[in-house]
Amino acid sequence: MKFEIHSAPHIRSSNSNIKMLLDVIVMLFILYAVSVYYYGIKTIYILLVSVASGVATHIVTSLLLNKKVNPRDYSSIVTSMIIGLLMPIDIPFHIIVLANIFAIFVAKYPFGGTGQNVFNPAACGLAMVIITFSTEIFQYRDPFTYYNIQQTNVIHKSLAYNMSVGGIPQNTISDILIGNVPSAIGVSHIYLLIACMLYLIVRKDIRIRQIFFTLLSLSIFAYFFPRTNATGLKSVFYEVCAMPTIFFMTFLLTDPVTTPVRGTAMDIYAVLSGIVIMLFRHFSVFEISEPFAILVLNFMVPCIDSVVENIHTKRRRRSFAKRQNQRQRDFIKNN
Amino acid sequence: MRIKPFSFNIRGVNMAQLKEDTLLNKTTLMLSNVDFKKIPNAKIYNNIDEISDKEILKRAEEAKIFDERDEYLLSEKLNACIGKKNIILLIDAIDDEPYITSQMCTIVHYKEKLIKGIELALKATGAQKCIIETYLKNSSNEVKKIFPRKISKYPILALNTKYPADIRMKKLWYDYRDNRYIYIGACSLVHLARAVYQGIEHKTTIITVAGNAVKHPQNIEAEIGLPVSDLLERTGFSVKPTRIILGGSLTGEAIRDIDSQKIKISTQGILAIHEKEIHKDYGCIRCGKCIDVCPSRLNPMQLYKNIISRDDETNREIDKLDSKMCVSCMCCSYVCPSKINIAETILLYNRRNRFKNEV
Repeated sequence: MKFEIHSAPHIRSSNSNIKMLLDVIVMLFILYAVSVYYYGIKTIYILLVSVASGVATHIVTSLLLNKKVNPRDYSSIVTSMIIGLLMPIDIPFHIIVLANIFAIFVAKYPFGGTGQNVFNPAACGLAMVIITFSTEIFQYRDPFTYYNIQQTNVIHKSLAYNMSVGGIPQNTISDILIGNVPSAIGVSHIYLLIACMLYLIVRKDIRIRQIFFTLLSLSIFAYFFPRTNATGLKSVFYEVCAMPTIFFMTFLLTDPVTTPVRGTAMDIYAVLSGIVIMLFRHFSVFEISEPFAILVLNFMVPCIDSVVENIHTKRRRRSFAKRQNQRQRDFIKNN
Repeated sequence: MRIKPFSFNIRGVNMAQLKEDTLLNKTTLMLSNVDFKKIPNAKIYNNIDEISDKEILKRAEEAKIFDERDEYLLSEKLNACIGKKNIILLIDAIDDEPYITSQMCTIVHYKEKLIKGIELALKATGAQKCIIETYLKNSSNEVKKIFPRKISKYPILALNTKYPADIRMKKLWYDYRDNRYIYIGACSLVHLARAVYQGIEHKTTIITVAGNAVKHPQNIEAEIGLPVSDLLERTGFSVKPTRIILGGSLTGEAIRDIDSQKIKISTQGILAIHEKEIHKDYGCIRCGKCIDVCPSRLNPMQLYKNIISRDDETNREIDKLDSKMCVSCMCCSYVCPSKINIAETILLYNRRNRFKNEV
């Protein structure tokens, strides 16, 4: 009998990229499902428009660049689902389409497609939309107002706006935690977002040390340099829960393509990301400035990677040389 | 003991060991003749007191016993220890790759022969201490139940580390060099006991025949030189295998023709594996899993990228990344979620540039 020759190893672990992306897609889908209860059926339309435009851009760009269209590449679906969740409920659909086109056509494919992009596509798309359509994108509505027809035109500013002008949110803590505040459709369900984060950590799709160090540095910064009159732990609570911190941390900062690879480099990146996000919040003109912070952080990744790699190379070589010397001395002693 | 093989930041892979079938089934014998080949004009001893230490070495040489782990003559290995103080005899029964149990099964199925072999080796080298090392992590409880804490008065050290336990332990014992040590394969001691007490020449080797396509997985003690197809005929197939492997499931090599391929002395196992289609749709997504598991603390991801780019400038970068420290344990290829052959690429590059820096 004859068989084909394959290269080692002959058994492989069961984890794959598709499994990882499907985990994230399921989590994002749950967020959409809860948002339907909060903001009405229009969230489904936002989901459909966003995903359709994202996938269409993915296919058209692959064809334009003379690449084979990969039907098992779900990364553009994740990107467009994240963009949809960061939009307010009254958003005109052409803005979502533009954000998706910019994210995939400009930020992802010119660098070489999936796995090669330097910047997070979703953050790029959002940053572009925030700069160009800054009035439409920051107009939020209270949740549960779609039941009452008279209240449909009530437009509110978000908690992030309150915080950016130096005020303290007047909502109760439980309202903030369950998401009963005006905000983008997917970012205010704090309980649910924490559950999503824990699920992804347990499935080893995102790393717990990154989340931990980001939260730690952000909290310390918020504790010592509060933006508003709320000081101490209150400031920390508002910075973490009233702002879309947890959403950005779970779905955008932990994107493996645009984060450092080594553990120690990851820790440095996480500490830096907490500080950079807080600095942007202090000095930015926009109420949501995290996409810009993420772009700046992505810019630092190659630098952090090469510095940490050099340190590791030195350590590795030192221990190797030590062992080699020992071996030579033993050889001389024995003979 | 002062060695610490259980430190916190050890790198490697945890994987299911799948050793129940071969350890619980009986080990069978497969010879081309009716009986073992005897050493001509050999005196058969009945007791350890009758034989002197020099006679043991002579008998090991006559019987042509090879260590199955490193293909050295056993008599040479034992001879190297004579005259040294404080030697530790380490019995190598570490089978850290899934399915393979060719050395571990000696503790269960050849217990008495192994004890006799250890006694002879201790007498020949003059060593005081003896430790049997085996690997039971990630094995099922059925397997753990079979293994005793000690056989006779020799303790069994069940290693509690991640996958490349073999390489790691050899490094660790080297660093812990207050006592001198020697590694001897468990199988070769069984052959030593046979040579002394029965006068049998070393002509057989224990081979694990297993895999998810094998019907009756078992260990077979087979004569060296038999074709691979003979062993697979005895076990039978449950489904049609897609690849046949000579050696371990991670580091072994796939073979094309099972009729012409013969068994060597260092063959640990023959695996018949049926696998589903692997989709390689994605390139590297920089997840960093290969870096987390690399026991030499290299950066396999960057090495792979630099090797396949083949620029002159990146060639210098490869030297900077220390490709020669790769121990080819295949951990990086095992965990890769994009199913890239990282380890093989590095291995081939190292083979091509073997003599580059040495001149």
